[in-house]
Amino acid sequence: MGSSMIEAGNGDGRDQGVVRSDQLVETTGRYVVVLSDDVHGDEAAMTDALHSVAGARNIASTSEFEASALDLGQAEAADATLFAELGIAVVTADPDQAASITAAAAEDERIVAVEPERILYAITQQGDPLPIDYLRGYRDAVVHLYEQASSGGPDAPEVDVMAQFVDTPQFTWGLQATKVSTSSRSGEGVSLAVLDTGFDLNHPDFAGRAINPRSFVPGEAPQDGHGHGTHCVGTSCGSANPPGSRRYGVAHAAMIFVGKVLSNQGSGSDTSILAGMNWAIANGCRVISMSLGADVRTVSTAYERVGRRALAAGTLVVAAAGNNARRSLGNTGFVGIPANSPSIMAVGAVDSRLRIAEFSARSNPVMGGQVDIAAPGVAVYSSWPMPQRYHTISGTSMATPHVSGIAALWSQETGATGPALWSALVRSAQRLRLPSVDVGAGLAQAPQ
Amino acid sequence: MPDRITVTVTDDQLANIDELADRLRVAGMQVDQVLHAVGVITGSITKSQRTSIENMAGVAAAEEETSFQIAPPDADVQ
Repeated sequence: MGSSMIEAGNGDGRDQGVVRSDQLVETTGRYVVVLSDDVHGDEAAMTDALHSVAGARNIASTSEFEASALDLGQAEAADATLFAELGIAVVTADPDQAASITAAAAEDERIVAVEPERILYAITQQGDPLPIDYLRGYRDAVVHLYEQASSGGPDAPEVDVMAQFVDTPQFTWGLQATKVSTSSRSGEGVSLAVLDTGFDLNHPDFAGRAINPRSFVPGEAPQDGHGHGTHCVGTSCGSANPPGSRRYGVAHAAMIFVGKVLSNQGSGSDTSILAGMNWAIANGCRVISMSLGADVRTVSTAYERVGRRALAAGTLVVAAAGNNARRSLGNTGFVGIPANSPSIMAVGAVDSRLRIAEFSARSNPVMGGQVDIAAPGVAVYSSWPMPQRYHTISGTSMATPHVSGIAALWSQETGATGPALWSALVRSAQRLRLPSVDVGAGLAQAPQ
Repeated sequence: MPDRITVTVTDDQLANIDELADRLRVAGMQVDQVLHAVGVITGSITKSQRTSIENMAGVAAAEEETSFQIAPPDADVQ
């Protein structure tokens, strides 16, 4: 027999429950003519094209009906129905005429396509069979939509395609999401200070890098005895080709200033932190990265004034928004000192699906207490003190060095410093479908 | 028992920060650091003497020092 029978619906063998795969597309016998953009909008040109290609003389056009609502009774009597606003016509033709119409249309630039008018069905209730043609058309439409949406081309529909980044052998997910992986900039010529627990000065991935270490913690050397500082230096300034590892660093040619302002136990105070900021500014650092904070809502005059003076001196201070949120418990946290200073850029954290991180602090209502920008801060792979060498951790502490490294790239790209550099970061950030109280201007992006 | 404090210098007195530091010492402050690039003086002072420096010319603020503590090295979220 040559055809296969596919049972659908309730399978009780009734004809309406069975769909034959060799069934032709259900059509009305009429043909849908798609008119080109050149004639669309020009009633006379469209009717002339229809006459020329389909021999249609008596054309019912929607432009003749009130509110362009076609009266089907009148339309049925016509040779063709023209949906003037759409640039689409439906013409009556038997199969022979259809063949000549199709041939004529192929030669005529005013006609884009001629298709048989299909019958479409509403989605039926559960248990009713669906015609195979409907399913086929539905499948084709979904495939087409998928291809369009994932191509991202000019015709791509406005579909929200969920992001999903992953670490690859070449790059961390964070470097991909921020487009650092495709940036031609390296941070060369830019000094970047990381004020933290110091750095593992023996880390093999940093052999040959220019590093200026200094400790502001009494009784402790710049050598990192915690790990946090090494991780942050890695993210902001890690090299382009760490041996045997994926790349994890942004400004791979920046001059690194390591200011130990937190002890090996991770604690610090104004004394050490302000001293570190003072040193970085006095030494011409264009960016200061501070992955530290205190859960205090009120703005500190000292940090705000210092942040302002830093900007005036051409130094952008970038600080972590804070990890005091527990969003799954309904606690959105708040931005504390020093990120809550108006003159200090506060960084929130997003995950690899570009959702706000569970712990990422939300803007606090005091002036300056807002999150300014966001960056990758969940499952961030970077350097760690030897012998462990690498570690993957989360935090607004990890988002912050992404931004400071990207700031170094923008400074190299544009020469901008201070407020102009802040502006470059905010302008180029990728806007996210997330509240600005959580992500500020959006996801930081590297210059391309 | 003295408190650790952070003194922020007013914008118009930044150039005179060393002179301000001397006046603070006279007023009883133990001055540890004079940070010229940021216009801040750190040190310690007793509570009773602190009020006398808060309104001193050139002092924008005299704040109790803020402490910072990050998570331990084995924490997932840092």
